[in-house]
Amino acid sequence: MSRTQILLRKELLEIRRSRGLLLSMFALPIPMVAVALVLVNLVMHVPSADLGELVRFYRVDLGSGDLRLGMVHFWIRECAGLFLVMPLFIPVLISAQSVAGEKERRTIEPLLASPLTAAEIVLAKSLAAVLPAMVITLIAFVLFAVGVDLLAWPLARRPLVPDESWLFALLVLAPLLSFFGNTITVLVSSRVSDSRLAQQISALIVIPLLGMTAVQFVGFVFLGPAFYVLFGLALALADGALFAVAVRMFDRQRILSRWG
Amino acid sequence: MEVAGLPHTAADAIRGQVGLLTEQPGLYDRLNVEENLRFFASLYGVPSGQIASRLERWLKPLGLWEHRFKRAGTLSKGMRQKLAIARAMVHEPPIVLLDEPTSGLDPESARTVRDAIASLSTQGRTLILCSHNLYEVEQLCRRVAILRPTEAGGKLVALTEVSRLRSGSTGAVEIELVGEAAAWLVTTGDVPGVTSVAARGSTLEVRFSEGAVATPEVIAKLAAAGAMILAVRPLEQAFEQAYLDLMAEQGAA
Repeated sequence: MSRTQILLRKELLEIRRSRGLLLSMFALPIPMVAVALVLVNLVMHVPSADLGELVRFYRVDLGSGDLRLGMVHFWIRECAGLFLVMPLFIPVLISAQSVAGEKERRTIEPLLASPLTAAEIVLAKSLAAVLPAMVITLIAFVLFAVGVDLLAWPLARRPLVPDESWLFALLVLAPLLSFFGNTITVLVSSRVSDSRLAQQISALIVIPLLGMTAVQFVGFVFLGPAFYVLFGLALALADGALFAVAVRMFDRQRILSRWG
Repeated sequence: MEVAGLPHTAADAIRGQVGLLTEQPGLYDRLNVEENLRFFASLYGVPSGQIASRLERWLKPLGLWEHRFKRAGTLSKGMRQKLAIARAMVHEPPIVLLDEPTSGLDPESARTVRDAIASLSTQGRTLILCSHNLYEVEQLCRRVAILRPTEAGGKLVALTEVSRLRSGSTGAVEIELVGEAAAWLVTTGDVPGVTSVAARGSTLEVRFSEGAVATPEVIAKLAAAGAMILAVRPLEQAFEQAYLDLMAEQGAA
């Protein structure tokens, strides 16, 4: 087993035993799934007279298909943006605990004195934040998919989720966002000594994504597939660059001498 | 310069040859005693087949074997510090750094930890103890390096044997006699180079103007006068006083 795997295993064990952290990790997906299902259910039951107005408001091009089914499809895609907050935010909670928290509890000193390299520490701690975030996101998605498919079955007579936009969101954007949220938090955590402060500062990165989702929800703008592909590419580049910066900034001497 | 046979620039490799006991134990409170040690043993490359025996080797003498399934967060301060010692030793490094190992411990736990450190020093390792506790330094160390804080970070004031530091600055001897030492005060005080003589029960404390070079003359004069001499010892001053004198000297310089 490599040193990265050894540290990763220890990190995951600590997460499993941290009731407070587990609670806060699961606190987000539950309302997210509920809100998403309520929204889809609302669209399912909008009076037919109002449906056309809704379609015009959102400027949705539904072709010649069923208006209600098209609108349900549209909302399912919109909810993907909402779900992406999860893989971005959950690593913030975990990484702040695992880096700034180690400084707070003075456990980082023996860790930095070990033969682990900075890259191994950053990689193991990143994976320990990204993996649980992805697992929780996937669990939430399965719950959402089952709920939506049950709700929409009378109308669609086939499963609507996952579709291509959800698969792209889950398999491409979610891991990239998760890694992004984590690396930002590692960077912040290596500069502050308080895990709560690290969480509060790092959590600000959720704001642009929430904003992006909100402007779509109120019909201000529709961000199509091309936007999301470009968004994915930009995230991949940012993740690579941020990881390199995080490893460089994870300076043993600085961390040891600047805490407290 | 080499550290444990490695060039001093090979930081990653050197870290593998060093055990560190930090002032705060820095344990993972949610992991139990065994999990804490297993984690560090694996990190330092102890083969997985040997980890169980290493755990037993270090936990048993420290009295932690029976507590190995307890969460580290539930241990007493002394036990936590002992677990930190086991963590520093589990990969059996040739060099061990001990940073204020008994800081904040109650006297009983401090003694247990000191005993554990003393036993390590008999195993052919280099132990480097960093402490403000001069009693601890005197008890545990053979050689001492005294650092004085400066704006540049610190200055090495002395690097010597503990025993030399204690005896070096007194220039005095202690002469144990048969009978009351007070009877020989005048005889001893007449010897050239002797600055002061004090009697304490059957012991004379003789101080000199230039080190203890006049000791043979004092002994000869006492013997000639009929004193029964049992022992002659250099008078060691307290380590703490030697330290304070040295620091005062440095401060004045």
